[in-house]
Amino acid sequence: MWAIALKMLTGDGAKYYALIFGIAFATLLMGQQVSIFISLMARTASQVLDVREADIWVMDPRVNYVDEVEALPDEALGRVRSVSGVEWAVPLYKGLAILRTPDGLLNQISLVGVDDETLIGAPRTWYAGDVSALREPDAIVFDAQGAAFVWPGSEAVSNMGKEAEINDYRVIVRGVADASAPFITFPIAYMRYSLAARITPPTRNKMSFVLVRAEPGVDPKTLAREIEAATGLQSLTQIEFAWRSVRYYLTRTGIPVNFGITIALAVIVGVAITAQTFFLFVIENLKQFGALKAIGATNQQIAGMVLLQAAVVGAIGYGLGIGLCAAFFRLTKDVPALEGFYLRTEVLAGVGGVVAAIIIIASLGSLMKVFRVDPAIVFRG
Amino acid sequence: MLQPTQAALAARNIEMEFGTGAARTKVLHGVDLSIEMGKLTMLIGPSGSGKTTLLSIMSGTLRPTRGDVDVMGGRITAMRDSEKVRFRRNRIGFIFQQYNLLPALTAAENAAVPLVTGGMNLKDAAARARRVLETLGMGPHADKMPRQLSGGQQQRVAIARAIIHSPALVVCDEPTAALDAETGRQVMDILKEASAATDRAVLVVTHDNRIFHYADRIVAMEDGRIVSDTDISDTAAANTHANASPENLHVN
Repeated sequence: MWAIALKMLTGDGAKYYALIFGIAFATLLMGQQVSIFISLMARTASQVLDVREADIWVMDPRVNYVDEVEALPDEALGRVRSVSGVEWAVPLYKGLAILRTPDGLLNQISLVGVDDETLIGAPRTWYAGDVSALREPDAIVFDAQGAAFVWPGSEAVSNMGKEAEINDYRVIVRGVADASAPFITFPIAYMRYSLAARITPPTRNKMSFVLVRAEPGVDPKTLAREIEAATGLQSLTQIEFAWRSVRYYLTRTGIPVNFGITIALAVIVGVAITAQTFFLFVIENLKQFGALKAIGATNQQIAGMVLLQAAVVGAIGYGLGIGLCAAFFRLTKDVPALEGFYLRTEVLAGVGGVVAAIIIIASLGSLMKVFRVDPAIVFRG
Repeated sequence: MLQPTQAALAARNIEMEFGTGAARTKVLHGVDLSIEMGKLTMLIGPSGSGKTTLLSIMSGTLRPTRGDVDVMGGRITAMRDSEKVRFRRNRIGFIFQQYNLLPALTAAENAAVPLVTGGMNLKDAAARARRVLETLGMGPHADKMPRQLSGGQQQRVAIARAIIHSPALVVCDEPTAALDAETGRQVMDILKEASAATDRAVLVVTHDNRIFHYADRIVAMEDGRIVSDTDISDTAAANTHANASPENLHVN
């Protein structure tokens, strides 16, 4: 009966392709939108996750996410270092600054000041120069996308040695490195903490975060709670801080709602197209199913036929949709606005589950009709 | 094996009602009818006389409001749905007015469907169907799709489908209604030959008086009742009824 089911399915090319297109379109829309949403949310924590050396981030208790900085007094560093179980603790500057290029153009940049001595917080992958470049006088290092943005039309690495100004202080490009794309898409610039503190506008405190490594054998989570208790500062493990940043954007911005609406529309369109087309496909074949029942096909055999048809169009449509989704991210991988956006494994599974649910719902709705069809229907003209 | 003229099918006191409440309509009023092996029995009557409803009930595709139907010794009205499906699959062949061929299958595959529902794979079943189609003069068309066949050819495929599993009862609903006279005659020739088997009965519902002369017996219905039952066993009688209409047939 399976061979007959497949021939019935593919026999009407227009309906067959409409079914596959419906599922592929829904899959593409859901997969692409969910992937972009997750990737965007991941960007909110990218700068936290990029600093792999640190187990713990210590900050002002009012800080909600990585781009919201409430500077700490310098003595906070010493208080953190004094907590038992801390292997090392270093300062990190994070803030926005205005960069002026010699041609007079202004660019807002995200400035990261890393510890002068250890350079913890510096990029790990370099396209030009290396981490020691940060030790050179007036050194500034850009992420590759940022360098290309500040000096449009140029290769990122060709900007080595170029000069610019931040608050009338001269800085020289000494390196081009890789950095995960941040949520706020300003160019990312790295320099030593002391230089950042000197050239940024004067404020009472400069230290944005204290980065901490736990001693071997010390649980970072426990240590974070101990730092919190000892200093009164907010102390989070790297993962906790990353999730805090993500949660902030999820709960305090309209992004999830907007994406949620798009994804919901994708699901609704998917259900509407797929379920309705499949339902109509079965309804239009009702007389054929009635003839099969009259001839002697059991309800189980017909249910198997309908489910097989649903599974085939579901699998092909899903595969096609996911393929198109993957092709989209492949083709746009070099687009700066979509940097770091990719089709995630969990999205593959999740969208697969939704498509399966759509197919099952459509099949069950159709099967109810098929089960109820009176085989005597074939005797009516 | 059942003997010639032994009852293949017996319907007793069949009543059928459709609808509910004020819209409830009685379409069969206590019909008694038995069909014998080795004969081609025609059930005739005007539209709305209840002949197709009676056919549906006697073939086990419709449950009567009241009454019993015995087919080849099995009481089909007392069977569970799953038993009825098995019974229909093994013992009954169907020929429909609109052929009801599956448009996505070739002629051979369509004819093979009863074997496939019985568990045979489509390839083997189609090979067997091809041989049956050969006997019906449809060999050259076995691989054609229904849309490539004429009405008469499609009906021959339907006949092949109805007899491929050697059923004891073949029920036909207006088998010539959509065919021209010549094609209708060819189809009836085949059905007549099929009915000659002593272990098979053929029941034809029709109001096409061009084919009455093929009948061994003509049962006429009107308003849900049998109004005449004529056994046509000799040529003279057959000729008499060649141009007959339900109105001038009498209860035997």
